[in-house]
Amino acid sequence: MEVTMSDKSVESILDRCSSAWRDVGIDETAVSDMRTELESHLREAAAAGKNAETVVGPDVLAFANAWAASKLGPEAVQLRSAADRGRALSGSHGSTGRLMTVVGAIVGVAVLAVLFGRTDDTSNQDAWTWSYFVAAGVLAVGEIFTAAFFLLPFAIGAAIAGVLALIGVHPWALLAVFAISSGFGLWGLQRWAQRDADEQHPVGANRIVGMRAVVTESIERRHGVGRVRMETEDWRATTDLDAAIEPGTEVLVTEVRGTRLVVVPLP
Amino acid sequence: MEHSSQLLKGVLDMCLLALISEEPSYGYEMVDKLQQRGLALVSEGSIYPLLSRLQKKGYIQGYFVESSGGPPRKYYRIEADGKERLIEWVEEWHRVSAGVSEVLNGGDDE
Repeated sequence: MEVTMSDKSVESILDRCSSAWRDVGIDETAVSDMRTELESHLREAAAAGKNAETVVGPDVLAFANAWAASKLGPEAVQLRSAADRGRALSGSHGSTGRLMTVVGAIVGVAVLAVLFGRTDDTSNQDAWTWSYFVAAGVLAVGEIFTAAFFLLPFAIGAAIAGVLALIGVHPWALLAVFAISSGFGLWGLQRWAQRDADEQHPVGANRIVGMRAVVTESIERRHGVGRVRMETEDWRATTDLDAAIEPGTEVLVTEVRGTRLVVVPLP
Repeated sequence: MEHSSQLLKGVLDMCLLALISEEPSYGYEMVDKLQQRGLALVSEGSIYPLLSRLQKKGYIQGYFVESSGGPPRKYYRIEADGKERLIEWVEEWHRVSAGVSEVLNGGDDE
């Protein structure tokens, strides 16, 4: 245990508290305010020669979670059920922005091709048109059979190139349109698919931390474990705080420790 | 848990509200004032959940004030609802502590 607080240990405490607060769903503005308030206290305590434990107690995480619980509670605006967390996470990653980028890139390239890529040499134009449409068809069928969202962007790219070939765009420009459309489409789709896998359905601890539960068997740190009911699930639970939590109390899950939940009471 | 800290737990929010009603104050300063008046906290940071709840109930309002040579300090000032609640709590405290004294003194009049 350190005797006095170094700058590094202050930063470390602030970082650990900030992530704990974010984990249980406290919004960024509140996290920032709480961090500032804690930093001010820690620095003033350090200047007076106090150690960290004097301020945050022996367990930093328990301290952070107790403060977090007081910020949340029945009157809180956010309800951190698993579905809401998934929606919030996916929304914040700008999926609309990505879609706009892909559409914008494709439209932009197509417009450029039409404006600058026209050719007067129509001898092979029909061949190109048919080639691209056939390619689009083959790729689309391939996409249906593989369902990997990999061939789809190429199918769309080929279709767009085919349409532009119809109106007389030069083969080189067609190739550029095909390549760029497919590339952007692939990028946009891959990001969307990954987001869907990672965050739409959070699993394990990510899903559970921040959820509410109700105590069914008394929880006291020194006397082993109690039980809580979380949605339809029955879990064994413990707490890092000193006070016992009585049955019927609504609690917030702050950690998953092995097969047990760590909880703090909500006011 | 230490018995004295358990006792303090029951009245700490009232004490914080009382300090804030004297003059606007910030966390570290409140801990300091409590210590000066003879109340020691197991962990100084334990006031923050209490301040958060007092603010949620509308008894106090927090606001940041720039501080030279350090991060901004969050001061709290008392609101009208807080002043009312404080008076109720203090009356309640006097009643309870008088009752406790009576019990401890063995009920002289009985």
